[in-house]
Amino acid sequence: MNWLRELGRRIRMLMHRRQFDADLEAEMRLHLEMREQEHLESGMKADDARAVARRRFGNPTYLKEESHIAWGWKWLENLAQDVHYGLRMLGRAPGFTVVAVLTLALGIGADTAIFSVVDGVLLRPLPYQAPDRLVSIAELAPGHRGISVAYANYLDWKAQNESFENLAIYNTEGVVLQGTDGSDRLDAWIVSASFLPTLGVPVALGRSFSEEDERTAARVLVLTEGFWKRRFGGDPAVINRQVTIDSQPFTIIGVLPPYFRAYFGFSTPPEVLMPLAPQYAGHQKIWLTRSNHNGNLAIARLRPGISLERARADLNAIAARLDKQYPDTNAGISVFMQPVIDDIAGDIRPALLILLAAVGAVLLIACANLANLQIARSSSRTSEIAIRMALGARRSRVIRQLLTESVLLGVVGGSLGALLAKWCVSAVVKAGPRDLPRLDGITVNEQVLIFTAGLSLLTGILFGLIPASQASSISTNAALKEAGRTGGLTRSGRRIGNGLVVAEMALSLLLLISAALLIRSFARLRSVDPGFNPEGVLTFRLATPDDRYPDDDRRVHFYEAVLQRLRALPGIDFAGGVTPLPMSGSGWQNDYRLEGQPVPEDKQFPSTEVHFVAPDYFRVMEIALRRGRLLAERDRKGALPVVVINETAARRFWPNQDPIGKRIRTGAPLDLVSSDEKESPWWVVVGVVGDVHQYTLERVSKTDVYFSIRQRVGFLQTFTVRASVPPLTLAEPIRRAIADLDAKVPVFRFESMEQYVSASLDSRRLVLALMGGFAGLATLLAAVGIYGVISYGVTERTHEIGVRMALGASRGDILRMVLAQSARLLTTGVAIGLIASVFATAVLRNQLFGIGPHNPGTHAGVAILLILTALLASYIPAWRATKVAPMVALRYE
Amino acid sequence: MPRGANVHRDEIPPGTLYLLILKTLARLGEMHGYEIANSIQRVSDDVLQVEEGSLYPALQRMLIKGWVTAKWGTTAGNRRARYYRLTSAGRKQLTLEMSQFERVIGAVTRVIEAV
Repeated sequence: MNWLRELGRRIRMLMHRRQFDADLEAEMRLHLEMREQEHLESGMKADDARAVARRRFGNPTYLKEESHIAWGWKWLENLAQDVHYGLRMLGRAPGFTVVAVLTLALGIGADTAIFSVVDGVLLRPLPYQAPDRLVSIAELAPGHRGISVAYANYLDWKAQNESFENLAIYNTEGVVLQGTDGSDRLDAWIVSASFLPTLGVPVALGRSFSEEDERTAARVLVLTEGFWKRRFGGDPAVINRQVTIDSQPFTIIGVLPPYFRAYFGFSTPPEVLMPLAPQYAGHQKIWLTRSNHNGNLAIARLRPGISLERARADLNAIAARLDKQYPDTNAGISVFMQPVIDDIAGDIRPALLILLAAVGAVLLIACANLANLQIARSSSRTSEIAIRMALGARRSRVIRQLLTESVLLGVVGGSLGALLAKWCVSAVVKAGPRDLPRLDGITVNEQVLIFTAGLSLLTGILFGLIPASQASSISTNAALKEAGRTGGLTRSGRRIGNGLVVAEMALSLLLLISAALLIRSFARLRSVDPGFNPEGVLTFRLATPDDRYPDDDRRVHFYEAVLQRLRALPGIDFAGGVTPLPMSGSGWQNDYRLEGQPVPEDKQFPSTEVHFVAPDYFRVMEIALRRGRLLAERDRKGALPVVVINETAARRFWPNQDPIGKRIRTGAPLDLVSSDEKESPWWVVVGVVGDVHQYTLERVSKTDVYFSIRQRVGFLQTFTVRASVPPLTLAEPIRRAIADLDAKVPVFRFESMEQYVSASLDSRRLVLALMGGFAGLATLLAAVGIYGVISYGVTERTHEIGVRMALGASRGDILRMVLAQSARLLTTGVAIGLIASVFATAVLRNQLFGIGPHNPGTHAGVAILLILTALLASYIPAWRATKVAPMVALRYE
Repeated sequence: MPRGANVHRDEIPPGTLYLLILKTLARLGEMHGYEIANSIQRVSDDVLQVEEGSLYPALQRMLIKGWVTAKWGTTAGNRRARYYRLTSAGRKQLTLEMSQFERVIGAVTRVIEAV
């Protein structure tokens, strides 16, 4: 504890250091005076007495200093002194200070903003227990990127695996909550009882699903906190309350904690969690059909110490056994497994890392700029520094002083930058790009601020160190002799300055090329014809309660009534509907078999996209008819089963043949040779329509087969209408028209088709805007940088220019001379940048569309743009050089 | 005063300044800096001479270590002076330094006598 008491004494001294100094002073004075008195009394003369006393005492200043140092606060006092001095110096150069602080605020602010996104999306642990042990699981079939999990397979995994602490399966469904005051349409996740235990999320109120619930298929309900607040006003008495969902009584058993978010799995987060057991109990046969991959996803918690690879091998071994056991359904099916964070952020990670690199480059450019400014400035401070060194300041002390100045700038700039970042981040979150996961977690939090603080210090040191060591390496003698003249840069100072500008140019070029490639990709993407005309199309959904619309016939009947009402509304030209809607993120696939083709030996049927439409859908979307006819009113139950296919399907299914009249079978079982019409009829192709981008503008069309809901499925996910007025203005009339038919049917999610198309570009737009902004900023900084260097060079060479002009050089000669200097720097920078781009832009490959990472036209165009900008920046000082009056210049010395 | 009249004075061996101050304070109780300097000189018959000022940084270090405490008082001549006093930690330190010093001196003596 001794050291602690000692520290206490030291701190007390620091608090009272004025008193301390006064005490020491008084004490020493007393000593000297008493000694002097003693000598006087022994008969010395007054002068001698004082001199001897002083000699015996030693150097009081040195001794005071020593006493001071003893207390160990020297460093702090030095720092305070440096800061004080630094602030004074910065205050004396307000122009430089403002430019430096703004540059740093932009640079550090941009870095902070991007880092908060990276932190919120990639780095922060997911709000589940030990999230790094969570894996998401799907199945892999040959030729697919991943398919949903067949329930029967899941049951086998659950029973046989040795890798998981817990394994859960879940699905999503829109359900209707019927109340006395109207119906609400809810997004529910249908989950196994193991779901919440797998995540390690407890309920905040009530209880979670139990194994008992699962066994008895109890109709129980767990609410999310948000839904509980919104629908029940946060009333704790909801526990054990009965509600009616899709005409079935459910008991609310629990409420989830506020931090619960389902970031993984489906794009629509749940409002309530419902047990899977009642659905399974009602339709066991379908659920246990192993070929029925009906949208289920699985999530599992690895046992401690079990690696992802081991777990994957474990499940694949099970899958291989199932393959042998059930070759009809499980042949070739394996398991897809990845960490749950990859499921959430895997797609956006490369783009974020690229942005982080880009923004780092911007900060580097800002640093280079400031270093250059500092070097130029310190050259005018040469004599000040020389005097300080002549007076005995050590070199390290001078460097420390200069570094303090730049770190001060870094800290002030960083603080401003943090504010800037806070503002940017809230703007990004508010814009809410669809593909950016965990948006709600993106904030400028303490961790981010620590990053910013570190970055600010580092930045200050980075841009301060070169100028400081430059400035302090001067020869005192030479500097003092030159002090009368205008300070000039040392040769190495100039070389470093030029090097920094070259580096800035190269980095800016890289950023500009990246931005240009992204812009061109985006433009190509925007000009992609989606195969339909989104302009003027309004979409919405409705949910038909099962009690009044229990089967396809009654549902379709209701849909037709709705469509009829819609067509009657003013402003609506056509009304139709589709399952699933293009660009909405969902898709349905079926295996298929073409007539006349043999059943593949391994029963591996190919698969196609399938769509179910209300006939006018094609007219609403303006999907082009290429051959034959569209689906029509007369194609209903009992009539000839017909389909329309897209051009890709026509080409792939029947190359070089007329597809009209050909027959196709989809849905199980496909291998029936005797045609059991009831199970799986042969569908006759009656028309061919144009290709449509069903998922994204990037992904080309696959084979599409369109059925009429009157003949198959009997469910419309989305209604679509073509409007002759602004689409969204129709929402209210449509709502009223449908309420007229059935007030208990919830109508929701009114969105124009253009919104869907635009949303599919959201994250690309964000990346592009950021990259473009960074490239612009980098170019601006680089232009300022070259302006600074050239303009400083001109000032330095005023004398030389004067001489040249006196000797007969024309203005044009001078202009050329100055511009040539800048052109040398530029071309070097651009050349380096172009070489670097060969390696650097390759990382962009996956972010690009319709253009490669090495596009000579883009590279050259951007390089020329940068050179022009930089030449423009250096033209100003060059032009000023031509205005030098020879006589003034010569007198300037 | 003619300088030649001075007796030759030896510099204090380094590191023994603490010991001298501690010992002086232990013997004579509360003293201020000037008194300490004088006392060291007197006791050593003017042989040991402190560069008087160096007492003060040493006293500061001893304050930090907690070997001495200081408090302001008045001298016989009615002047304000800072009086130093040994603490119990200081007394312990004195014992320690004494034994160390004796060990060193003893060793040196043995070396010299062996020659």
